[in-house]
Amino acid sequence: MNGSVDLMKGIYQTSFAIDDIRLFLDTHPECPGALEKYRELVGCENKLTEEFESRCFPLTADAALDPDSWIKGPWPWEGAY
Amino acid sequence: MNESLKNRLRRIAEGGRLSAPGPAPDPGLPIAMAYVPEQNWRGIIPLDAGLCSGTVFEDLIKPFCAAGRRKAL
Repeated sequence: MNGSVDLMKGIYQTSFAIDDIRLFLDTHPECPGALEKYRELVGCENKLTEEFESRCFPLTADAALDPDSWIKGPWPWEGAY
Repeated sequence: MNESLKNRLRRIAEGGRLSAPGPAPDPGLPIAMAYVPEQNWRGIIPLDAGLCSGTVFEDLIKPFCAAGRRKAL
């Protein structure tokens, strides 16, 4: 799947940054800079996930509306990601 | 036969694994009190660097170098 590895890498990186900024927001809930960055990255992650799922396969069970879709991805032992 | 704790700690410190005892604490500061300075928002580092460093906050990149085998990133 062309570009799917890069997309997945982007999702890992973005989602990690979101988790880290969320921790910061636990102690600084009113920091405008952190809130802005947090929202920006959540938007990016949603876009990346949407693109990945439309091109490749569902990443969560919630996104697997079609029973055929969840066998489209590689099996864990195929070591895709 | 039992080595006293004090001697053991000194031996370990001399072996370079722990830092040697430092100067006496400031008389104005009570011992056994810890503090955590507040982190300020200074933006984040690039996302790929963040995932590799284990944090997106530059202030929090603290590589473990105690054994002297690893270098700071």
